[in-house]
Amino acid sequence: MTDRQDMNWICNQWRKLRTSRVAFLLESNLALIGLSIVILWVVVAILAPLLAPYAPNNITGESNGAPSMTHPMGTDHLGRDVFSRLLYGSRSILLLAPFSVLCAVMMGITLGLTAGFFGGIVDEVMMRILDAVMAFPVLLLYMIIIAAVGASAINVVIAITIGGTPGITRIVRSLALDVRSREFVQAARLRGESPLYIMFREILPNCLGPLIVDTCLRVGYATFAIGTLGFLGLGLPPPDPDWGRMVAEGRVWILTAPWTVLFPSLAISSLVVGLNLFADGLSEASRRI
Amino acid sequence: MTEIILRRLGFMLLTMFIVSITIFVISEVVPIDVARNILGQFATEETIAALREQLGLNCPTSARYVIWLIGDDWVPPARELLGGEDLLPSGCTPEGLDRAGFVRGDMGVSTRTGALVAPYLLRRLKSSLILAGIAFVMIMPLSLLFGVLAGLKEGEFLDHFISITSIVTTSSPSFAVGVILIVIFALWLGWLPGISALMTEASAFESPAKLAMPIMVLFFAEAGYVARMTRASLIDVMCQPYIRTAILKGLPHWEVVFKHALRNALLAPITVITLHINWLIGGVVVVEMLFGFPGLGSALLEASLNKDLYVIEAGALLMTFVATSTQLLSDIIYVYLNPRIRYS
Amino acid sequence: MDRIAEERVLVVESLRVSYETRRGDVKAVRDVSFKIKRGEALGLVGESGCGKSTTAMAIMGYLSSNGRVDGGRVLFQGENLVGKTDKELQPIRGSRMAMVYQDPMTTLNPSLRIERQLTEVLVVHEGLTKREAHERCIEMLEKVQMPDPGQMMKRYPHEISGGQQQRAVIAMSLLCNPALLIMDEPTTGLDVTVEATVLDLVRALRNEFDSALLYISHNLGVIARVCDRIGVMYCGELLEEGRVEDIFLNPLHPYTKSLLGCIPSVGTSKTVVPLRPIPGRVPALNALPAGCVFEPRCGYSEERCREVHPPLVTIEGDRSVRCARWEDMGEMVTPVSDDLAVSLTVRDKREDTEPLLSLSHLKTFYTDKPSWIGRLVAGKKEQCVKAVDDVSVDLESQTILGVVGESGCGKTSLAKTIVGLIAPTEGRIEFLGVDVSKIVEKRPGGIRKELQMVFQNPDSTLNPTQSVRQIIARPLQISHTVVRSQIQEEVCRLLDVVNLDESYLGSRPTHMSGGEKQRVAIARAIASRPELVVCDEPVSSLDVSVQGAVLNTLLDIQRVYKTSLLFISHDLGVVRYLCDVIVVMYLGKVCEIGPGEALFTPPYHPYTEALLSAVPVPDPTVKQARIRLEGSVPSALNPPTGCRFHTRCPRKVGEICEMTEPPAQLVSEGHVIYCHIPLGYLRQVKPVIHGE
Repeated sequence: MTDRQDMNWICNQWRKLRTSRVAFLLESNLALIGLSIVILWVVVAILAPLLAPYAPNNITGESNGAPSMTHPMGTDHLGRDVFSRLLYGSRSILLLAPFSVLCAVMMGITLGLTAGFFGGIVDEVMMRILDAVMAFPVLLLYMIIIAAVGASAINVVIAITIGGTPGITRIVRSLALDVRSREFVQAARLRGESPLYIMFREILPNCLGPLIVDTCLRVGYATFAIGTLGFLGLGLPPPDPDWGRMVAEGRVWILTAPWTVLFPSLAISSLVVGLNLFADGLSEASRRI
Repeated sequence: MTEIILRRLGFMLLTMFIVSITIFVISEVVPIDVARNILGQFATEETIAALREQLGLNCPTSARYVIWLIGDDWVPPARELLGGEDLLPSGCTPEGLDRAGFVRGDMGVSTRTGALVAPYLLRRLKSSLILAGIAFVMIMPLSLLFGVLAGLKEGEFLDHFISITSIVTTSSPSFAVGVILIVIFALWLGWLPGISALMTEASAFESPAKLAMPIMVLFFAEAGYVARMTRASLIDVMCQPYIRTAILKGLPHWEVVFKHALRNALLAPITVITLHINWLIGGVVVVEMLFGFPGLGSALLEASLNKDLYVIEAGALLMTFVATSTQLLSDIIYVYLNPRIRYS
Repeated sequence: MDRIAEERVLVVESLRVSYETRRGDVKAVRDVSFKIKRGEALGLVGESGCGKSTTAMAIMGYLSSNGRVDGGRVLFQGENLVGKTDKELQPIRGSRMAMVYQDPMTTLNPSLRIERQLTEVLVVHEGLTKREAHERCIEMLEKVQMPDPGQMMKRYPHEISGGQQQRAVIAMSLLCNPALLIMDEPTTGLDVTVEATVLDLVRALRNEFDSALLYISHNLGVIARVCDRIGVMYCGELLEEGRVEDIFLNPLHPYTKSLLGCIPSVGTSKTVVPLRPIPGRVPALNALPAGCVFEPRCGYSEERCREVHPPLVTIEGDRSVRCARWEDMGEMVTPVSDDLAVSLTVRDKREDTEPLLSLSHLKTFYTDKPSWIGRLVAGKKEQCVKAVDDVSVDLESQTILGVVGESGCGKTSLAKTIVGLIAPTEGRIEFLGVDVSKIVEKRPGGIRKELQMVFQNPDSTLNPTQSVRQIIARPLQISHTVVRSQIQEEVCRLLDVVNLDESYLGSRPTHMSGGEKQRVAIARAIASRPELVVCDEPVSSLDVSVQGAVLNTLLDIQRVYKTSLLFISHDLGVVRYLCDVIVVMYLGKVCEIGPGEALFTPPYHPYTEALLSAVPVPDPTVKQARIRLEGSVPSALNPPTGCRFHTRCPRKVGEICEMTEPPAQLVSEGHVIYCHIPLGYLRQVKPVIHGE
């Protein structure tokens, strides 16, 4: 019943100034730039066979050759064309990152909803386990897991899923706890709805907003992680082009043949920055709405 | 307050216990043969079997775990006491491995180098701590400052500049940033030395120039995140009703910001920063690998690639200890800074 | 009143304020004019969105970045404040012009001690040293009746109670003896008894300081108690302004008249005077009517009201009104439609039947068991909040039972226990002859559908991702009230019962107003045709003009479906209007229970008496006894022994009140008072409210 023109309302109104319900993304310049970068790389990944002048694993030039007309980004230490490897490398990363995040999200939703809805001992135990897992620097976790099970695409996905699930579970759980205390959930209990119904039809739809934004952010983190794993030698096994591994392999010659490391570094930076700009713009906009 | 501390300590012990068991279990699952790894592709089956025997690898995992935890130097006296019975399965106590167990400080022997794990890791830990300390002292005040500036000038050019720079720097993977920096500073400008193969613990700290780039990379990785969080926190605080009260009381703007807003705005960033100490110590593997810095992270990476079980175990537990300590520190600071909790 | 000197401290002339939004400019305040003299108090009253707070902010010069003053002047002691920068306004704010806000907990900085927040006003504006400022602050805290000022200064805001926080804020605003004091809903959110003491304080302070006071509230009763003049605002415009007595006794604007007609007051009940809610809803600020802004909802409108925007007309130098038909107001007879009047209860009296709901010695405790570490090291004990402590009440069928009390009295816990959201700790609940003393998931399905609930907060009572049709259809599906093929029809019928149009079927809750959402919630609750509906403060967050509609809907439901209602509220007026039987609770215990008329006339329980004298009544001619309670409600963690009320009771007899629990004293059929004071004495107490 209070006059709602209080401080916070005023601040929100100001933020809503530049927001339009349908076209909010388009009005956020940052998100637009981010999205364009991501779309560019997706296109590149799809069209890689058409755009690349050579096959990525073939030796087509001299070792550590400088950029030239035939090799626009030079060649690596084995004589493979950097440009082609770059284009093909985008495929694996753009496939693995969203896929692993998707797996993590599905696990996280199940665990988070269960913890948030049932509470009590189930919640306590789950949270303690997650706290333990999250206490570890994620990278170390990946290292230990992959060192244990070996490096391959599936294992990378598994590692990233395990690394990402605790964070998502946390978010879903806190959203679930918040929604659970809302009165329409109490009304559902009074009707005698089953726990499954309440979790998936009443609580989950109301958690989706912030969850989607967080998922976009996580795809960025996953890309980051895949690149770093490749650099540390824990990513996809050779000879497949993997941006991180390309940097690791060329590291020794960095002062004499910088192109072998510079272009993959710029590639991965641009992709992750693009993803993060987009996710950031999304979260800013959703907060305004 | 005491309850929080005790709870954390208990939690820490429990976590370390669980982690230690998990790692042993994982290593059992993995198919890599340690002995074969060490001896190389051309070793014969006999030499491999002998090495396995020597390293005590034929012992069942559970027994190995117990030995690792509490040692096996008590076995002979116990055996005598109990009339000559074999307490442990055969193959578990090869001669020459007189161990005191982890709980008494003996972290075992590296299967790769044969050297004692404890001194090796502690040396590495020390290097990491120093690097983390220097980085922390240089990065945190600056990033807080940037965050506050961005928050105060929300929407203006300075804010956009700081925000975008922050996003770009934190998003870029640290190895990529490192590479770009090396190309710029070592190759083109020649101001700083390039990387060397592997610094020893002594040589790492002998000239500040060697540390300049690792610290720059750490700065780019961390500063942006802290700055953006501080900015968000400050903006949120400035929208609070009590700031409106302060302004409408007729306080000058700078007093409102410094005396009323900052106190509340810095609460969240400071507690998160303490958690980042954790990352600076163990998570900077990439920086260590890129610049050849002898720290804890790279020790663990090498151990993982070589399945050096005892190094992995000790290293992981060390990391867990550091992590829970920083969480405890963060909790304490939060309680101390937040009057609502301190005086309730 | 000769203290009202001629000096005009504040003159607002044709003030226009608008906000820039993505949908264009929103004219939040249009052509508002009023003046306040030194020592005078003007109350600005209106419902949500009427622009009263915006006006206050515009006067202080504190609009957000997208707000601006489009036109008009704000003359403060002769100086026009419009257009001044923050720097120019800084010396005025806090010293000559001060403000008190609604929620004191968020108004004070949680990280600074009270001393710091008070002294800095004096240090900045009057250049005092810390020590001098400290002395002045202690003096001021004594004036605002703060207990133990020295200690208070050292505390942090979260360590003191709501009433004390507000006193601190009031003290802070008066430190420099400002010429103008603006108070924006300062007592909303405080308990009624605490509110009464704060309002008393405001009145006392007005005698001591001669500041001009601009008091903003949505509560007409509060305004009647505190102010000399009143301005009624609606949708950004000032519709009427004049002396409090004139406006209340002879309102000239249809809106004011309707507003007065839809407030349930402690004197009326549904059988005496029906509530007449105002139909329709407040127009959106970007879709204003061309003529009079109130016309779409006005019962007296004519052609010219639709076409011409009426100007503010001044009458007899003292009053103004913005209505084309004001002269006819006096002769207008308010149309009373027959279907609104609720006939006296025509219940099928079934003699000697079981009550519908029977509570026996019901107890609901919340226990906090500390972990073994905490107990071992920090010596923490098990803590127990006795939210509901030994309550025994019977509810007959087709009755409306009201439960009233302040914060911490346990009424919400009682509701949740009855309905099954919380399991009772001890005691028995019998509903329709079945023992349901357990949590709702364990109750038989047949019983579940007979007991439903309407919740307090309209914003969270409906699932925002579902449409109205889905929300109402679901309980029909589950309880099989009608066959599948008829569900759609039944949904429409239910909407009709709650006076909502079919067009709402596809709407989502986010597009609906509070009143509409609450009505959908009611439709959902009655879908399974329950015997009993528990309503937990369903109208507390709604505007006054909408409350009446929802209350009347509840009455309709009770009449047509013969449903019983358990109505929980802190608002005595609403409870008096609606309920047949009323239970007064304090700290988990029942103080008094009885039929509406009996409760509000002597004999009273001392707490009931205090409540009645604290409630602000929107009628300046009514005389209310002045009985005030000290302090605030004690913590439920450690309730007082014996009679829970003895720590604040003005009629405390003696040690017996501290030692033994009060006995039940039967006053008349169905009326019980739990008190040690003998009935004969209580019967002789003077009535609290007279002149009704």
